[in-house]
Amino acid sequence: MTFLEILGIWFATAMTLFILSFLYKDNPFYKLAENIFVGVTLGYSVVGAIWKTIYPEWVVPLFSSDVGIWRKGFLLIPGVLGILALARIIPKLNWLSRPAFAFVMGWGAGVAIPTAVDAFVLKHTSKTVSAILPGGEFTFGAVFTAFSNLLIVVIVLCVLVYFFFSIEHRGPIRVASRLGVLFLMVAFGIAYGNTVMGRMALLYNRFFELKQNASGESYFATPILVLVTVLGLIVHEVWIKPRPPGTEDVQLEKPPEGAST
Amino acid sequence: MNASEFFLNLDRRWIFLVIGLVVLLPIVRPFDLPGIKPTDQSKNYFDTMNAVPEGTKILISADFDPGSKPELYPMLEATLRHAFKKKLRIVVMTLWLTGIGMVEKAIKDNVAYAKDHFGVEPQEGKDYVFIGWKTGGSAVVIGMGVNILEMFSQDNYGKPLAEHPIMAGVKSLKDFKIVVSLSAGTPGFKEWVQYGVQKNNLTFVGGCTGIIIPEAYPYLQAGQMKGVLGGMKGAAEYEKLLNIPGTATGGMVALSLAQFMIILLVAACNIIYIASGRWRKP
Repeated sequence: MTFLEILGIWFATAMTLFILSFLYKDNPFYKLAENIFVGVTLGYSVVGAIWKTIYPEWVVPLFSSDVGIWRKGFLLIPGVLGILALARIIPKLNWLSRPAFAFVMGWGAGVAIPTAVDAFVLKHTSKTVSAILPGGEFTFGAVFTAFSNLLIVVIVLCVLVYFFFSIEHRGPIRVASRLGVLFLMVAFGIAYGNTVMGRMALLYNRFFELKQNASGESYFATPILVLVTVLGLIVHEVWIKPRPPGTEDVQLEKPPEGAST
Repeated sequence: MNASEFFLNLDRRWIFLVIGLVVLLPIVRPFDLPGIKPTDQSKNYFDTMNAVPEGTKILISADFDPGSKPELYPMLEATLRHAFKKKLRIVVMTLWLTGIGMVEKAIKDNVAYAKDHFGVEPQEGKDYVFIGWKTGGSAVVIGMGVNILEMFSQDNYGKPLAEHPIMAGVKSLKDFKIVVSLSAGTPGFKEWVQYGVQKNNLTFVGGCTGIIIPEAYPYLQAGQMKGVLGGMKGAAEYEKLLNIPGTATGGMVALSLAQFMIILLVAACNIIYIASGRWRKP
């Protein structure tokens, strides 16, 4: 293993432990890791965008003798729009960014709306509705599919009724609305369960890597850094932690006997 | 303080500690739980990959970052192993900048794995190529539907993409028999369905994190996705179908224990809450 690889392992281990230390309470180790994470992510994204897209796809062809004048002219358009978008950060000139954002929104709407209607609305609706009364053989599978599709239609309608406030929720509308809430709760429960599973998978992965990094090959990164983090937290809690004025521990006097509390 | 008050006022850090220990246990002392049973959607993913003949070109888009690594990286590894085992020709890409490093590692590790376990030696440029990342999300997918070489003029390492033998005869997405998206969010499988699958009539399979898997089911039902792997469980099912246990199979023991503990805690809290009589108070 190279020195840089070992350094990477130690850094990853330290960051994992620092972030996990938040489970105890907010502390400087956590703050350090949080700020490094934000900074590295931003820096990586900016550098990646420059070297993976702007430089090879815009700068190189723009200054290349192999590229024709027309293509260079077209390349100038996104460049100008990109620079105009940056005007957003200057309050006096932020109106200059409007053409760039208008272009992005116009392109987005033009491209997204027709395909979204086709891919998300028509396709899904037709598949659901067409399977409610299936043709062909009368099998258990076909009946089950028809029932589950019918259930989807009923659930969609009930949930829509719950969010429909133009009429009072009384009688059958109230029943449908209450059912809609129940279906929403089931959906939220499923989402919560899946989220927990995802977070547990993350925790497992970090623990798994911490165990791997505990070996001699990684120069015992995990045990050493666990010790450093725990000692650091103790030192911070006992000696360093600053206290705002007026929050010193005050020994309350005992109230006189017989006094009402 | 009685028992119910004690539990209802328990410092939540004790619960963190218990969950932590439960997840740690199978890592420190590995053991097995009853077998993983693949679901239909995982079988469909496997069958779609398995049905294509040797030499077929497929596209794998690893649309995730390190935050979703535990769930999606095992899927990427298993998909690469499956493809190398079947001697498919693979073009790998990512729509997430922070996915580049993981894809590079997955390719490197699994080329070595294929040499050791399948007796094949995949050659870069001929059997596989990593074309890297391009900003734009949906615009990239639309562009690839028209001309891939215009969208990705170079591979991830700066070599002109047209010089790779694997790209011979590849103009657009239509030239891939299967497109795979392992997706952690946006851009991901929805963009592939909306701008790639619909327009180019592609055979599409995907993998998602557990959080977004319910969003994938309508696409599965509508036939826009042939199969889907959901979270670490889906990855473990795929490993089971491939008969190559990986990190997801190991992780399922910890996940099952943690899930069981959470259900136990939720049930216990509700029982204690009801027993305490607090629910009667306004």
